[in-house]
Order: sequence, then structure tokens, then C-alpha cells
Amino acid sequence: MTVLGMLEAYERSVRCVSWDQEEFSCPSTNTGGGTLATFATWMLLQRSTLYASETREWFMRATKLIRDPPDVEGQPSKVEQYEMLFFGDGAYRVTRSPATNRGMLTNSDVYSSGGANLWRLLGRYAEPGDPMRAATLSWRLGRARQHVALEPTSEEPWPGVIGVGAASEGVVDVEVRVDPERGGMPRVIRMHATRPGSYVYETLVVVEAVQVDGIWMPRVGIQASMYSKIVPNVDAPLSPDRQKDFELSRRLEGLPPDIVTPELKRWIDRLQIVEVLDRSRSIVIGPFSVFEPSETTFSPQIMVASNIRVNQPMTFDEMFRSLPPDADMFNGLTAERTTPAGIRASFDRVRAERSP
Amino acid sequence: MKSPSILTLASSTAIALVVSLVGATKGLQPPPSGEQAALPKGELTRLRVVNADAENLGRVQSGKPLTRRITFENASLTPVALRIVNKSCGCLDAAFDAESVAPMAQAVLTMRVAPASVPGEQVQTVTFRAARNEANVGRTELGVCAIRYQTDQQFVVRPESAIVPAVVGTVAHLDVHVRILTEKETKPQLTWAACTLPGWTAAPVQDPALPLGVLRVRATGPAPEQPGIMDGWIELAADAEAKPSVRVAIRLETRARYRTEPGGIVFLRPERATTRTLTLRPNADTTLTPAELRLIPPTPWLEARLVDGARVEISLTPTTAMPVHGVRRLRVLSASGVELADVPVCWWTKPAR
Repeated sequence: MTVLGMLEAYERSVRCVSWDQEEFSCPSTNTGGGTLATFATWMLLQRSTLYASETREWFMRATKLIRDPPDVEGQPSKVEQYEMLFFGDGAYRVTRSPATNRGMLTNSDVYSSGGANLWRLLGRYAEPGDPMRAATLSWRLGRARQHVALEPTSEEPWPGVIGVGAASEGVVDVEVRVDPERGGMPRVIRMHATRPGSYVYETLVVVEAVQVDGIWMPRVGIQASMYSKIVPNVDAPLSPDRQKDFELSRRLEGLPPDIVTPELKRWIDRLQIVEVLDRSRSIVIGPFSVFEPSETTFSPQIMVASNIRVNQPMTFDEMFRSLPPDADMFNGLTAERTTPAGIRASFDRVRAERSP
Repeated sequence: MKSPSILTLASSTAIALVVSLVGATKGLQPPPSGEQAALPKGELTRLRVVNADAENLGRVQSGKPLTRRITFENASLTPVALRIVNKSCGCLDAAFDAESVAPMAQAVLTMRVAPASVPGEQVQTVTFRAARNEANVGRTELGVCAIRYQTDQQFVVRPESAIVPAVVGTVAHLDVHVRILTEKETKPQLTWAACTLPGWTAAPVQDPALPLGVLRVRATGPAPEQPGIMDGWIELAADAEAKPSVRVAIRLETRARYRTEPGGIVFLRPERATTRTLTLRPNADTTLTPAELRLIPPTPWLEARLVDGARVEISLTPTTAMPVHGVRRLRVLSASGVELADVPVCWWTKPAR
């Protein structure tokens, strides 16, 4: 199938990427969504410097902005910055909390694989919750029981394919549309899952792309996720809270002006009104929160990438340089307290033992 | 079962009523003055616990579901709406048996958790909102209920799962460290090790540098002859007859001997003869070099040529027989016929609509 071939050609061309990104969370005026903060515009959620490679090396330094409710109504939310550092490979992860100057060597994890993330917009780590983090979308689709071709449409003018039963032991359908004009870069990825009593659904969209060393990369992307119970009477009207949030989302206030385009607005409308509302009226909320259609969603999120570098591997020397020499480290392999140099020695030993 | 008074709820059942947090910030309507006078400080809805299973379930079996039920009574004069707003973990399920509880009626919160195999005491919490009216607006308060446990885990294993990159024709390894949680002065008595990946073995490694109580096991084996993904397990047990005490999921991701840059070709709207170039680079040390190209299936409008053993030129010459889009595979072979790379070659013309 040509779409799968184009996707594979693109994926094989992208061996690794490093980039900076900002993630913005949609307006949320109902306090019930798992946090007490409320905001009426798009808000910066996290700033990150990231790296990911096909051979599973990864790096993430992030500053998360946590908003608490104001002490007095009408005042701005209180904002705390929470910094974090993670890097590693497919087996191990090194962490450090700048706040405590402590860190550890432990299992690898999925820290670099959540939310609106450039690597995920390319179809890597496409399946939420998969501990092995799917290598590539073409691999996922290759496992499908059946393939259904998608013709370009006026709304989504790219050819696509749905892989029926492509993931999660065959209960997840994976849909992708690729952009032939951009070397087969994925433009839209949808994960559909049905299982008894619940419905998981995620959409990743590349709204704007830039060419880096001849390879197209997402610059602006959207991730929308829902996780809910299936409930009867799904035609219940939108709650006033949700209507208000959707209206605020559409204004695109709070986002960097250079990304506010008609195309971005079209996709926000589509993701919130067409997909959230019409496709799964039973929903709705992000993966960590609550279970009622009236609740606030913290989806979609928008990613804006910058300083993108393609196929320039980041070395572990560079990663370890982000650890201050005096950091208090715990070696999770041996349960010993040590220094970053001690962690490096242990890490190099286990890495060397399994390098091809 | 116990029926504590309102004032002892927080300490005895871990119901921390975060009173008036939301109501205060929203500046919503106060309760009727007469009722307000009757409420102890910090009590808005007078939702009190009348029955609760133990919060701390002690040592439990990992993976075996745990349940804790807490029965609340609405001791106020108005209905109280209940809604769960947050959970500390995806492993936790929590629900009230009613969305609203009438004055002097009861509602049961059921928490269910599937304990993961994690060392140390685990605390999972559910946060709920209690509101004084059905619309769930107005004066509200938050409650937090907890469930505590400690799994019966004997060992800490690092990593618990691993993705191992490999290249066709090479040998790959993964080291697993196992720490005993109980008798720390001895190494884990796990003398039997195996790996289910084809051709792989696993065995303890003698490493005098390791502290007491830590065992290192190495799994090693060949990458398969075809690129792809293969899943397996590393298993450790007291002996060959015993049930494995430790299982580590391992995924072997094997790449071809050579890669191409770019990774494939997409001819876009090919209206005239076009040539593109791929550069061949080895993914690992190898004595095999590219010698032959094969297009699968052979395609009249496509031609591939090896240049200097390191580059491939692919030419597309449109013909009337050529479909508007398609994909072929380009196989790069060594002189002995070993496959070194397999590259997608596509062409695409937007179909007429």
C-alpha cells in the first residue's frame, strides 16, 4: 500500500530529533478536572528540551508550570515552576530534580512519550499506555488485521489508512494520514479503542511543518485525548461549562501570535466540536481525571517546536553534562548512594554490555 | 466497623475534608444562618463517615485487587451532590453508589486498586467534591480518601522491562540487576535463569564489585536474521523446577545491516524521468558490502543502479502503464546474496477526484 510505503520512507529518514517545545493547555473554567486551577485563555503548561532516537536514547529537561487556585476569587492563579530532568535509553533512566539536587538511575519509563510531543506527532510512541512504546507507526500498522484505505478529503486532504486491530492486542485501530508533499510525514494520527465499558480516543495533528535539512518536521501540532466510560443517553447537550470552555478555546488567546492561523482555529474547532462532541458524545476527559460528560477537559493541547535538529545524535556525554557533579544520586541497580560520576560508570557498564 | 464522630473522622479514617477550599475561592452563597450556627467550624456539608473498611491493608499480594468501602451520611438539612474529581493512580478505580445523597441518607464510596509490584508502602487517594445542591455549584468542599498497602514483593528488579536495539548479524546483551528486599545480607537465591528469545541464554554474572543482596544476570543472544521486533522474557527462579520469581520483559528491535539516507524514496507527481540518490551506510561493523540491487517486483518504469558500492541511483521514467501511485521494495544484497537493506520506493500523484 502506497501510504504505508510513504510513511515507512519518512520514518526511516528520521533517525533522531532534538528540539525545544512549548505545550499549551486549553482554557478550562470548571474546577473539576483534576486540578483546582481555572484559566480563561490558553496557558503555557510546560517548556521542554527534548531528544529522541530510533535506538531509544532520549533526553528531556522540562519546566512544568503548576497553577493553583488564587486565594481570592478574581485574582490570578498562583504559578509554581517545577523543573525536571530525565534521560536514558530503552532500559534505564537517569533522573534529577533540580529542586532537591537529587536523582537516581532506575528503570526507563514513558516520561518522554506523553502529551503533545513532536516525537509522538511523528507517530512514535503512538499508543498511550504501551510500556514498550511502539517503535514506529508503520510497524504498528503492519500488525493490523486489515487495512482500510482513506481518500483525501476537503477537510483532511491527505491519503490515509486505518489499521484495524493494529495495537493493544488487537483492540485498537490506528488511523494515519500522510502528506506526500512533505515526504510522507504523518499529518493526522488517530487511535481508536473500544473495550468493555470504556472508550479511548486520541488524535494527533500536525498543523504546521518546517523543513529541516531536507526533512519535514512538525512545528505546530495538536494532541487531543479522551478517556471515558461509555454511558447511555449520549445525546445529552453540552454542559454550560463545556460550552464556555469551547468558546474560549476558539479564541486562541494566550498562544504565541505567530502560530495563530485559520488552520489552527479550524483544527481546534474540529477536534473539540466535531470529534469530541459528535464522535464520542459519551465522553469526556483527559486520561487522568474524571468521568462525566459535564466535566472540564484539559484536551486538546498545542505544541510549538523550535530549534529542531534532525539526525544529529545527542551523546550520553552531553546528557550527563546536565547533571551537576555534586548531585546526590541513588543507584537503583545496587541501592547505593553515589555521585553523577558513579551513576555514569554504572550506566556505561550496562550500556556497553548490550550495545550491538 | 466503627462509627466515629465527625470530629474524629480525619484521623481515624483518613478522610481529610479540605473544607471550603472551593467555596471560599468562588465566594459562593453561605448556608442559612441558623444551620451555619449549628455547624462546627470546618464543617459545611456535614458529610460524615459512619462506616469504613480499614485504610491500611498491610502486606498484600501484587496484582490481586483490593477494595475499600466508606459509607458517608449526609448530616445536613440539604441534599449533597458527590462527584469524584481526581485519583492518584490509573490503577485506582473509585465510584460513589449515588450521585446525590438526601439529608440523613447514606452513600458508599468504593475504591478498588490493583497493586503494582512496587517496593515500600503505597498510598492511593481519591479526591471527591461534595456540594450542597444538585447542580453541583455553590458551597462545596473536597474530601480525600486513601488506601494503603505494601506488596509482597521480595525483589527489586532493574530494569523491569527493556527495549534493546540490535543490528542483524550481531550479538546483543542485556544486564538485569536483582536486589533482595528481605534478607539483605545474602544474594537473591535465584540460581536458574533463562531468556525466551530464540537462541538467547541468561546466567548470573560473577561481579565482586556488587554489594551484598544484589545479583546481576546477563541475557545474551543473536539478533535475528531479519529486521523487526521480537518480544520475550528473562526469567529467574530458585531452580529449574520452581516458578519464576522474577520476569523481565525484553523487546529486541533489530535493524538491517545497512541504512539508507534518506530512508526511502517518494517520487511526487512524476511527469518526466526523474532520478534520486540514496546513500548507503552500515548500521554496525560488517565485512559485507553492497553488490547487487533487486526491485521487488521488477517494475518497467523504475531502474536502480549501484554507484561506487555506496550509493544507489533510482530512476523513474513514467509510462502509460504506470498507476497514479504505488510502492516497490528495493533490496540491497551482498555478493553472497545476503540482504543488507530493504528500502521503500514510492510514487504518488494525487488521484483525480
